[in-house]
Amino acid sequence: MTFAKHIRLLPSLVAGALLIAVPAWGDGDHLYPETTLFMAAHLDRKPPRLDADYDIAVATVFRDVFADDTVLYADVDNPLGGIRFVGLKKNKEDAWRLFSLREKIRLLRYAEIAEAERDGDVQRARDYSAEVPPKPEDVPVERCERPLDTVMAQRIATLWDTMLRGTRNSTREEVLAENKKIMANGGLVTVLVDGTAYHFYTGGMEGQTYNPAKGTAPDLLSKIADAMSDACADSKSLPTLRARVTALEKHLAPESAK
Amino acid sequence: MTLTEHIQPLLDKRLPAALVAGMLIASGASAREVDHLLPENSIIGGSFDIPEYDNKLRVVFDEAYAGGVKLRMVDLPSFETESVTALKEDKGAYRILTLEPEKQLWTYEALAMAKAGQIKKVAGNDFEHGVRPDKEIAETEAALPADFHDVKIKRCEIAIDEARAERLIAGWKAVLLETKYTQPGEEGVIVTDGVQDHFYVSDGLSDLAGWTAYAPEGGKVAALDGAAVAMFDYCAKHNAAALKKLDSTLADLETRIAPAAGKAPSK
Repeated sequence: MTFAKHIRLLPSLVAGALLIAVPAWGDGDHLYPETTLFMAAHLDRKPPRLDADYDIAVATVFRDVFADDTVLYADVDNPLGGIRFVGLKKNKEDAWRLFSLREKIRLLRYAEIAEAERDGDVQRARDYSAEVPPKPEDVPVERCERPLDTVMAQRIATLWDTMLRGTRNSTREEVLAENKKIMANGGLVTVLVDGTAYHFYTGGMEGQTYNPAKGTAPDLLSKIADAMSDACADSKSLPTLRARVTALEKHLAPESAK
Repeated sequence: MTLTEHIQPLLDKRLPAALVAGMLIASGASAREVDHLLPENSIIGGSFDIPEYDNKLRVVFDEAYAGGVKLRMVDLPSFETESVTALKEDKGAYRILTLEPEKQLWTYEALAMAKAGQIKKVAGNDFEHGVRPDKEIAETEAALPADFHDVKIKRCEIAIDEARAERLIAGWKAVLLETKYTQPGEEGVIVTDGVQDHFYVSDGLSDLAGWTAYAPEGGKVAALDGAAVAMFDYCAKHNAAALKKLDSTLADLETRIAPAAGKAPSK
């Protein structure tokens, strides 16, 4: 679910100084690099400890995802829907398995507890602590796993690799073009105050997209991640997964043919 | 010999990151060298191996993350202290800022690992039966403040003219816009340890970041690194020779990036 706010910018702000805040991700036909502690925190001078604590809690609860037999995965994070992981594992016999994991308790609470403790807010820390097990390790996870045929798994793996190898920032020209488009629309921009973030991983590469434009490669890849999750829960969804894999292959085909 | 000096060669703190950065791609006959920065790693990506260490750096270098900071390079050597070199702007006035802790912050992580038995001392050639390095742990603890917040920070700040500042920003931007993973056909490099540098630039339009553990000689990344080092040295020495060196490294960077400046990154 996405809530959006439409904000009309003053043309003077845009035309002269180009002051539109552009997020790390945009509507490009590629994934964007992850943001980390090494990036800026201009708006909030406090080190982004909350984000790091949340990520550490997620990495702890979903530690199975990081096992050696995992070939690729995605995490899908929505402030209302929570976080889930979907991916593929391959064992020593080259048998592929589709997996899907979902949090049962909002893990952000652990980061919020740590933040309340740092702030010295004992009551808030106590209230939040009452909502979750003492340690993230004890948080139950909703699990699903099923075999996946080798051909389909390898097609998905190829798509993950292709998409992640193309991870990059927007160029200055792309950002300027986006701003021009906004001005042509009367300065109306949509600022997402909620949305679904998709993060993709394989072979040590990472990339993300956030409410991608419909029909773009990140949009099609996100739909594959959703279909993988559905197909894990119910094999009747496998044809949908197959169709979405084909759709992205077709979308990328002209690029790979170069 | 400190704990870090003694043990670090045996433990590559960044090996996983280097491995997963796509540097192990088999090299081909006509392979190109990897001369671009790599996207940053994340905790959930599993390649952000020691978030506590990075958090310490982020806290200690906080001033280099303030509003007005236009570009930055965080330098993480293997055996020496970490440092950050930044360029900040306030109402059109530019200043170079450098911060360097007097103790290597990595030592806190190495100490914790040694205490937890994750790092052992090898006696003779018996690599299978390491022992807890108690003597080195005691020596290291004695030489280190208990809390990393208490480590003294060497701070330097110096004015730099707008023209040079803008050239530095343009150079940073050109290299950072080419940040990407290792591509098919690029030469594979195994980095088991060494200096790791994290770069950042903001132009008001977007924030760009990338890192490297390997910079081929004569390439763009090496030139960018050279410019950052020259900024650091100019701040420390504040003399004509250091400024001349900064100018020459800046010119070298501009020469390296000239063909690519303004173009979209190649896929």
